[in-house]
Amino acid sequence: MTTTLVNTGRLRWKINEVAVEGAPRVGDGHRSANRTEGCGSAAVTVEIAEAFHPYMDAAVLRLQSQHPYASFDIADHGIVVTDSAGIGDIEIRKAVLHAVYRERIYAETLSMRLALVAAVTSK
Amino acid sequence: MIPLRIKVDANADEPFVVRLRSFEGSVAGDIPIALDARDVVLERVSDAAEYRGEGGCIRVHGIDPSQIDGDVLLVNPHRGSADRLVRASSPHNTFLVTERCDQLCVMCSQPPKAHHVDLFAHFEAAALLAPEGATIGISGGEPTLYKEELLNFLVQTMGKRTDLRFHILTNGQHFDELDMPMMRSLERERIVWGVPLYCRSPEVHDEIVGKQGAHARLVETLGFLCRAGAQIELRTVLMKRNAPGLTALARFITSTLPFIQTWAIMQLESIGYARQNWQRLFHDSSAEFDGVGRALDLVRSRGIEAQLYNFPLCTVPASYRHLAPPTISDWKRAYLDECRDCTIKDGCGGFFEWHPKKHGYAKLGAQS
Amino acid sequence: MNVWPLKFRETPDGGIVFADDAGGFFKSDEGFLRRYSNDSLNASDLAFLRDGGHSFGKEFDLPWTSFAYRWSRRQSRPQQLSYVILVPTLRCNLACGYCQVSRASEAARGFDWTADTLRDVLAYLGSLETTDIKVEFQGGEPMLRIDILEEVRTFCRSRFREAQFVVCTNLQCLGSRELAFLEADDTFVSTSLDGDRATHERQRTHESVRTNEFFDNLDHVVGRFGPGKVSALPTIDVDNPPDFPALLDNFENYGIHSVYLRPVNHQGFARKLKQGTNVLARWNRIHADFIDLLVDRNCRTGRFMEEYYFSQCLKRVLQLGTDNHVDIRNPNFFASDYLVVDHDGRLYPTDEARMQSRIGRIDLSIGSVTDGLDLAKVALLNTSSLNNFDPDCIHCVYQPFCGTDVIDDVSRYGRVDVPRPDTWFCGRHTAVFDKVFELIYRRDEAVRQSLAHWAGVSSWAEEMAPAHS
Repeated sequence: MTTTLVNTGRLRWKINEVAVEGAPRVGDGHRSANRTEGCGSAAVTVEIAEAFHPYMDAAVLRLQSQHPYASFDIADHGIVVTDSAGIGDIEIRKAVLHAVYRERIYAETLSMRLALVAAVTSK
Repeated sequence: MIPLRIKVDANADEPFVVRLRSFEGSVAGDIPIALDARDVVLERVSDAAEYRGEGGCIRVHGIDPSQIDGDVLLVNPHRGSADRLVRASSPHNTFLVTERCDQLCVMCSQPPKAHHVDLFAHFEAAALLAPEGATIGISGGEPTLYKEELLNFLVQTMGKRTDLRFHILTNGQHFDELDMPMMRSLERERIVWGVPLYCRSPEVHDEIVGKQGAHARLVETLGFLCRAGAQIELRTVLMKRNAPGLTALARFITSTLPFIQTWAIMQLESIGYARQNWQRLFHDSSAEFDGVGRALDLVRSRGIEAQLYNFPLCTVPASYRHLAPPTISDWKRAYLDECRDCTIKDGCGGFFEWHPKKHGYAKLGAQS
Repeated sequence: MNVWPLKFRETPDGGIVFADDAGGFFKSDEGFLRRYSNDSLNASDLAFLRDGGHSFGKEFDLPWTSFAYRWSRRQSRPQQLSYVILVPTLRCNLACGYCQVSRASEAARGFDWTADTLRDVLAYLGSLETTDIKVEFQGGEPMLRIDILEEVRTFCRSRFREAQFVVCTNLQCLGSRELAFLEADDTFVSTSLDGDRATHERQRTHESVRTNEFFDNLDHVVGRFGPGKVSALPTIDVDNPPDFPALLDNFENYGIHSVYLRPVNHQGFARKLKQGTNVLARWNRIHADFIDLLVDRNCRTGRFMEEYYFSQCLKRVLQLGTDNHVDIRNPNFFASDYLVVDHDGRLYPTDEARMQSRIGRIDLSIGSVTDGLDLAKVALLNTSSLNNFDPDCIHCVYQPFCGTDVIDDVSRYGRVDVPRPDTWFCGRHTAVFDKVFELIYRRDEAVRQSLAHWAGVSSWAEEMAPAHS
């Protein structure tokens, strides 16, 4: 039995108890992330809602520079974090989600910012 | 009380503007001031003070000529009187542009009248004769009911007298985008627009000013004035009706009106409608200052200037007194008997001349 | 309804601080962040945002206008040059441990303005457009050339409508001529007072006879001219900080209520990042603890002292147009309202730039009193002097309150394009603003008393710290 983070449509996640045969038992304190052990590195998948997918690339770039000891990869439904060197799952989730939020906010409001600067600097 | 209207005889058909020179040749030091065409010089004093000049001949009764030297009068021959439009020795000079108004404020100190006499030509003449660096108030009724004349007056006067400043009271109901070029052409530093806003809530504000939709229109105008680069003195007369909403109004100012020059919270003046409705309107800030203090602090914490107008110092907690400068015009200022031995009287603006005997302040009295 | 872009940062208590580009801030939670990012704000959210000035209906409506105004007022505008730092000599009669790179010994030659330099400096000042001027004399020890100070002051008093002078002196040598110079109403003293006596001696005067000299002179100046004449700054060695309660007592004793804590600035690019981070973390800890100490002391004594830079950052958060401190404003254009004139007549954008050039690392001079300003070089420095669209700053909740320090970046890293979060400047200011916001949202009485004083209001209430849940 593992617990997984499930994207319930908008970016809300709930904890689902899912029976998975043969999956390794998840240890204490890792209830809320999908973590697979193997090759000495633990992977955490943070599910990302579809509306945020266009911003995953930019988010990963930023995350990589902010957390150079971890590894971030884009998968179908989210961002996979490996080698996170002791950063807790909750922290990883927050870091990833916040990075994605920021990229979306930036991209979708850039035109507002440019329009403001143009308006206040016009003669 | 200082008289603004004096008894004057003149042999003329129409009202006219003169400037009085009570000291012959009126010198500043040893340099004689050149006489303007509208100057009249004191020639002799018998039962009246006789002034003569190119501007005409007038006889002034009942006032010491030394007190009116340099004053600019609008003489009304038919009425036998003259209005002292500009008192040279006073910083408080106001032109009453009209008595008409499109609002009916519950505490109006100058209840509106239906008729209007256009005095702009006289005002322009008078402004040009004002002392160097004078600040002239413009008031009413509602001056912008004659917006075109007012703006033209400003353009003309400010162009010819680059030292004059104006303080203009307006309810902000009549500006529109077409006025933008003219407004922007006026020198920003030399005009302050005094605009009343009584409450964040449109219902309460509209109720106080007696006009539906006034708040909505005013809020638009404030944005207009910001874009026009105008200096705004936002004025809020404190009353029972709007005292509870002061903090909400403060928050509105910090988030939405940060461009004002000053927020003036004003105590009620007991004249006109306010006098009739005193008990219903007057908020005793000496007993209940907390809301006022919090509103002042919020706005000032955001770096916006805020002041208390017409608050006697003894009615204000000590830590806020530095925000209460003397603001009551000299001609209507008075002190109570109990003020005689007060140690802070010099910095206090006192009371309105017509402040009711039952003044309504629970905490009052000379400070030692 | 259009909501202006919001930046956000988590706080240690699990909340999230939000701010828009005009510096309108509030505290909320992860739930609000999710709704905002997902475009699913509810009615209560929208009402809150509208009331806080974070949204508008259409361009040029009142809320838009107000935001545009607040945003514009947050940008520091180019000003007329009206503040000059003059370094008439590099010679000094002290050898403070942290100053070794700038000073020359008292007997050295060739480190003073020549007669020609003085003449060119006066001509340069004379050419300025400003009507008022503030002149700060630095060095070395400027009092070693009291003759130059007198001449500059006499010139400025007649040339400018209003002139003010500050002498940055170690107060070691005060004869009658020096005292006469300081007596004037337009002249002030800035000195170093490194906390308690022991620290001051260890870092600056080294010998007790010289320490006595300093404290005697300080006593004399404060006693004779009053406390308003003198300001003092402590320099703190992170490795060996002073007894801070004693520091505060000492400052208050001299009538100085504003304490500007500055860390020793170890010059040189050789520091490894790790070591740098460590110093930064320790400095941030020291500074945060000092603020807590101040809050507690202010409440206990009822007499209010401040840490100058913290107060400045607090005001930058709360108010518009707080651009008076040249180290923190945005944009931070060089050669705008102030300049440094070195011992050889060369011009520098800041004192740190002068020091960088002195140690031979990089020539940041931007002209000379003889040849005037090198505008091309100034423009080059200025291209990096704003944070608005920096790829890191644009996401940062503190961006509207923060600034840039290109010279500091150059001095530490040898380049101006290091990612912001990796710079001392960013690390330092993130910590200061974290502390500012921690205090803004604290509810205890002691904090509120100090905040009220530092913000210049009579009392600090709930509504000063907007929050939404």
